[in-house]
Amino acid sequence: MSPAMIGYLSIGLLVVLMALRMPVAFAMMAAGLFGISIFSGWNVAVSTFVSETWSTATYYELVVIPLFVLMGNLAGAAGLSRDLYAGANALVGNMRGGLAQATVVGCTGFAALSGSSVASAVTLGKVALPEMKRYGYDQRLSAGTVAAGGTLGILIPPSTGFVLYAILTQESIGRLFLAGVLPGLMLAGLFMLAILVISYVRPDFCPPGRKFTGREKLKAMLRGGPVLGIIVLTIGGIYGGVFTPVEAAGVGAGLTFAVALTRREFSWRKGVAAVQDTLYTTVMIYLVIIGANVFGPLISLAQIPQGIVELIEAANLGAPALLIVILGVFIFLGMFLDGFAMMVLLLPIVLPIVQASGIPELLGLAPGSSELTIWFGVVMVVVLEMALISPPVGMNVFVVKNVARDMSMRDIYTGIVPFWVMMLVALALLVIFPAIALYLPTSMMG
Amino acid sequence: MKWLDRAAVAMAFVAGAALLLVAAVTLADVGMRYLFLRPLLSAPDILQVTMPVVVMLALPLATRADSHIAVDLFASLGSARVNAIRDALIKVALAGLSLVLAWGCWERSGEAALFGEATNMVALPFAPIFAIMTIGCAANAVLLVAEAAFHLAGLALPPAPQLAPSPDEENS
Repeated sequence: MSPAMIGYLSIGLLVVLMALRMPVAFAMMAAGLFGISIFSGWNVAVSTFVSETWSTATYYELVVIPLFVLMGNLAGAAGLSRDLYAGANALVGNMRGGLAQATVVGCTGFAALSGSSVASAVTLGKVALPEMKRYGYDQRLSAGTVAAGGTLGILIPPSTGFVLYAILTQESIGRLFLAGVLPGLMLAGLFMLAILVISYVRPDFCPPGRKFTGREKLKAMLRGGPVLGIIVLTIGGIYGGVFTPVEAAGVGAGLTFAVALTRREFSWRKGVAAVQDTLYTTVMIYLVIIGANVFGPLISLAQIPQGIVELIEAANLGAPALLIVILGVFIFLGMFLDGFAMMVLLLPIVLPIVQASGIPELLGLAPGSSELTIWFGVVMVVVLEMALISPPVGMNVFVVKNVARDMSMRDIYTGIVPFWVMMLVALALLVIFPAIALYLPTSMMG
Repeated sequence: MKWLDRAAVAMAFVAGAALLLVAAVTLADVGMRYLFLRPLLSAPDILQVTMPVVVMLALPLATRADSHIAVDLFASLGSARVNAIRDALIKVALAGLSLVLAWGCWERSGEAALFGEATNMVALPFAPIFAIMTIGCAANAVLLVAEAAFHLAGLALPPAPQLAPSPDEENS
């Protein structure tokens, strides 16, 4: 049997197992075991399985995931998201669509505390949705704002999406975190622009909120002080060269725990629940990476990317068309696959294709350069964000539904449309101006 | 199932404690370095051997909570009986994979003990860590087989146990 045939058989098995609802991580392990055992025998396959599990579980850099997730979960349990929202409301609440604008600003702030989009949507959703309901905001707009704003969690550092991408591509976590800052702020700005436009077209969707006195504004912003302090110390510490990402995550988790202890609403039960949620996320991400590490090498061994590159060359597809096809396939698959799963499944196939195609030339980047890998990482994470709010399996939509049970899925998806369009605009801007992603990492880290 | 759930919760408690140890050691390392100019040289070694404990001992409870990523496109294949058989078969297959990993970890535990494999700086031994991974994977396999039996018997799975009552319950 040819290597390519073994590869395609393994991919077929993977698809069948996933369709039968086997968890993606285990499906990749099973397909990887199957393929490697045909290539090299059962003992080698098992040995690869065990060694990949060990090397993933003991990989030092990966510790940032549980620590940053713990930090975000503790922040949610301690009600820090409430402080962020109050501060953001005092800051931008007077704008048109003020409460929705404040939700986006709060999500942006929380994204800098948490690497998880789901955690951002849950914590901000619990605070912002009831408030917007109280002021008579259109439910679709409220839901769309929370679901889309929450996705900023995986673009603005710390980001579990970037850590996963960094591990899969052997790229620097710090550089990727930096690369996410400007696109994250840009996307937040685009979301706010969408709300502004809606507020002009349909003023009844977002009635004016309350006005804040100067004293109230100051008080609300001071309450957000500890949160800002943690963000500046951890994220700033990475870029200032004071901490490695792992150390920053440890310091961030420790500081968040210390602040949580000073809050009346924090209890040991909430703390245990935060640890439990962190364990679930940790297991989920580690297993996906183990699965990818067992399955990924098989893809290379079977020379599948090379085969696809040859097909593309034969089709004589230009670089712009190829890029549109790749992004289109990602966005389409994102409707059905979990974002993380999509990343680990497609990255080993698509990144070599991008590198071997005319896309680097189109962007003005060197093929195989670190800049190209980082730019593609940012694009991939934006697509992941779109996947989080795309029907039928958008995770953040389920989160919003869980918080606002009286809302229909149809209404939530309708509310998401303007924000989804803004994500598409962000993608286009990233393609036209790759410097949006690359300026900070190249200027600050070389 | 009750006893299996208790075992899963007990293992997850150890995993949670190990996670807090990871955070504490990282924090202590930074503190020692900047406050006393004496970094904790054992920190990377401790993290290296603690993370497999976190992941593998939390695995059974994560399985019970169904927190793994799955594609729900074909969540329903037809009648409830067909879905139950599908779920049971998948869980048996997952149990098989867990057992393969448990067996492989057990073998590696023996090899690590035989060759004295340990971390670089402070020589923390790998053999016990592989043994703990074996326990986590084996427990996961047993739990999955029990869940498969529930599906085949047409019974609803009991709700996943929690490390602590949820804050919502606490507030109510």
